[in-house]
Amino acid sequence: MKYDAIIVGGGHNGLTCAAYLAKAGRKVLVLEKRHVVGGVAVTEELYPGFRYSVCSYVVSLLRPSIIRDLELARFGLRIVPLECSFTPHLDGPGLCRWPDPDLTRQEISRFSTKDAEIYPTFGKTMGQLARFAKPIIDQNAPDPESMKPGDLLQLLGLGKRFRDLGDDLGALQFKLTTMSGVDFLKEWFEADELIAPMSCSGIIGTFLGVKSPGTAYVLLHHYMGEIDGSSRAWGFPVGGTGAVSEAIAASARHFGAEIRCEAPVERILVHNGKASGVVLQGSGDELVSDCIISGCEPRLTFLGLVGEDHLDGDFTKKIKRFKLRGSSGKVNLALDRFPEFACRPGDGPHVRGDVAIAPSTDYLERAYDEAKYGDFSSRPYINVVFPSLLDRTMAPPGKHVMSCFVQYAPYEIKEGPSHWPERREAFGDAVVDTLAEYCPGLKESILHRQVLTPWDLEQEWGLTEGNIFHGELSLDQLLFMRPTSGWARYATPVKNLWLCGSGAHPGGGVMAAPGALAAKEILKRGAV
Amino acid sequence: MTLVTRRSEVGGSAELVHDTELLRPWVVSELGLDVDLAAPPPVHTPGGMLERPGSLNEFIEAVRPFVLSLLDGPAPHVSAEAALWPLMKPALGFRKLGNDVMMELLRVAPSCASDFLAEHTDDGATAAALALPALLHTWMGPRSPSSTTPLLFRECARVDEVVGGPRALIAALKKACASVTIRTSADIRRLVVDGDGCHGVQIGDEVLEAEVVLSTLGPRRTLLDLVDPMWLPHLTGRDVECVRVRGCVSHVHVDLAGPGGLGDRRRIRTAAHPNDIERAFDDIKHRRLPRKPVLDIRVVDGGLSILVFGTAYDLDGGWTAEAREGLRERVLATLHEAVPGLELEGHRVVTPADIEAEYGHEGGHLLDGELALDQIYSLRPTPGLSRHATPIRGLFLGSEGCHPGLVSSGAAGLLAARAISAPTR
Repeated sequence: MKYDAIIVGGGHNGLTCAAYLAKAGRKVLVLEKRHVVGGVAVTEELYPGFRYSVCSYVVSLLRPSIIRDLELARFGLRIVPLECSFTPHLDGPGLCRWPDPDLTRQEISRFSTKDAEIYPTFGKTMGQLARFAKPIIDQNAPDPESMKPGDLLQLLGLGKRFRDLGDDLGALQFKLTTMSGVDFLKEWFEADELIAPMSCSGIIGTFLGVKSPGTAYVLLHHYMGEIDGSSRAWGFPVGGTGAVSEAIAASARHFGAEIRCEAPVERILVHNGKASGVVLQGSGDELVSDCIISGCEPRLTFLGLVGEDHLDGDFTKKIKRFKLRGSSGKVNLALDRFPEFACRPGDGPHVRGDVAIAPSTDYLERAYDEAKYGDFSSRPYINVVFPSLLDRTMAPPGKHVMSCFVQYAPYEIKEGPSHWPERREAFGDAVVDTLAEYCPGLKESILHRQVLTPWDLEQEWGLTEGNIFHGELSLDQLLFMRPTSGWARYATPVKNLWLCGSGAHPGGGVMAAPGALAAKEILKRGAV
Repeated sequence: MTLVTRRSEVGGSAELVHDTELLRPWVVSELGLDVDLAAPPPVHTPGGMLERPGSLNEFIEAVRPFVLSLLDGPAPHVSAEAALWPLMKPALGFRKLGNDVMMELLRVAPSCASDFLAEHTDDGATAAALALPALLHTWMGPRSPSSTTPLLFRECARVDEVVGGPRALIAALKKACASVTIRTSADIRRLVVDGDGCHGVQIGDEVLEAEVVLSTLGPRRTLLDLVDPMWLPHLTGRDVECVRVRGCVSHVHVDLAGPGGLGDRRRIRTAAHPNDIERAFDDIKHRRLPRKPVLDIRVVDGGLSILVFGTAYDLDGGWTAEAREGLRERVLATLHEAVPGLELEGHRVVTPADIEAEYGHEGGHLLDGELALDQIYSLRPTPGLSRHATPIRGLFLGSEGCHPGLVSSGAAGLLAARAISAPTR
């Protein structure tokens, strides 16, 4: 049987691409190597009764247009907004930022009244800049090389919108794109206790420090998020992030797509420079199609599944140069009881959002510095969510799961990446030791611990070098450079082969945007 | 025409910056400067004599005309209301590079120097020696994104240096200023500014009147310290306050008792790998004395002029005598490791605090403004000030804290002079 399109990789982008193509009447097959779909947007019960959002743990930029087009609410998607951002301190009650501006002002004024006053203005200004930037993630990447009228119009459109921002906002937008998160925030705020947690969003999934240039613009993501129309809210999907993938998969099946799990692809068949099918691992079965779409990370796709022999030297060089450099790890804990924070006890609203171990910018920067030279941070940045506080299905009554996103854990540890398994538990210990400083009762309440290192992300999920975004989200690898210049619109140098994952524009995060945009481009070009 | 300086002699901090490789040829010819130019002596690294990788040279050759077109002329005024015409010229120059080079430049300019250099050489010492001078006036390490941009600027702008170094350059400039009255040890109090603009300079209790005042002090000092805030437009003041001037560099001069240890080496850079520079930058970020400072050493008359990277202006505890001593020890330790057998007689340490106190550079920053993507070209020092004029009639800025920000280039001063003489501003 010949499929109109075969999608390699059943991550949320691959599933999204499948759903759109199926909705357009195409016969689509998705091949996923693991036993469940979702890639790193997956929920698994690794300890009886306790469900982990194994890797990715929050949703924010999941495109509303995609939620609507694929009717995801109908297929079970429900997102609970994360109420607040809490930063505990070892000396003092910490800082909590709430949706309620008055509460937030009270909190911030404990550190600086000036900052408390200006905080709302900052939010408003960032909102304006986010409105400028947001359309970029819903459209194809602009193409400065192209002379086609449509592309030039798009570039001009961007230019005009930039000028419409006016001098002040225009200059700010440029600063935002080039400065470090800390420097940018210091132009507005003075309290390090406020700047530290705010600067964190700039470094998630990136191998950079909060004082590195280029980390300010990611602050915008925080302001671009919307769920059901409410701006800036981050959310937790009921059922864990796996529920997002399951909803997209259900939608794809509803529209007629076929999804196979435990079907690892060994390689993509290429004849005379054209992709013509895939070969399954183990059985060696060949499946044919004139449209092969990879939801896998670009280096794995081109060097692993296609092979250098089918690529020209220049392109191979560019793909080899594509920066991955995973820098994060994950620790998931099953807990006997709620681990109260000494500085603000109780399981009240303050812990029903995200909790960040980010006491100061120096702390965050030190965590980065250690990783640069091949070690995981002895005192890392940790972003914690307690899904069980928001969703009773995640753990038995009275018990909890604690999802801990950790930076930094460099893929290239000094012993060599393949030695990560020997270091895994020490890494887990560093995370737990750090958390225990804030939650004294934590260690005694741990029933089960899962530790994922960049090596594990690579081995289990095919994320080369453990980069969670399929490639650094740095300025030289974004927009028309993603994954490499000349190939930023989902097509690849191999005819009939397309990219639809986070390694394509607009990049990583649980956005589903690359999957949708790839499907649209594929349909537009009549490739299927 | 009068030139006034607080110091006892002209020359400013040129003697600290032993580099004259960025002196612009158009400055030399336009001023008819009486200097001899020659290729600078080779740089030595822990790995031997520095040789620039061929592929790097090729890329620099390809982009040089475009980069110099940006650096060697005034920066266009960028504004939502401004005409787009001034941007067309650089835009066309950019497209003239051709698709491949254009995309490559777009790709590497925001990248970090260590990644960029790693694409051209496997040798750590070569990469470090190329990165070091480019980073001295930034607040970046080789792993900081966009650190490739000041590296590209430097590599494209390098030309022959002045024989006799900064001293010879200053002497030639003095000669060219023969008709100018020079007042040294001047107690500069403020600029005389009112609703009509700038009318002169107050020195001690005396007012020196002038139709035009050109300040080559940093933009921050000029506009925030010397001008009554009442006359400075609010937005200008706000933008100038945000200009970052965190100095990272100290200077040590040592007198040599003899030539022992140097051999035929005249320039030495001590880092064996970009990570050595990165570690020194870590020390800067965390405001501690550099564990192992990175040195850019130049043999000068009877001694060594050493630029030291790794010293934060805002050192924890401040630049006390103890801190200065600690720095001295570490510099000398690194020096002896790089050049065994040196016989030293005396030394003089200039910390970032000294650079501020003695040479007037706020933050100890020798360029009076960090080189960063948002502080270059049309944004240097701020969008409204990049063309050397200020909103205050008759007041102009001519330090390298303005465009182009090339050390000892003469460019900012001459561009400011042209702006002053221009028929319409």
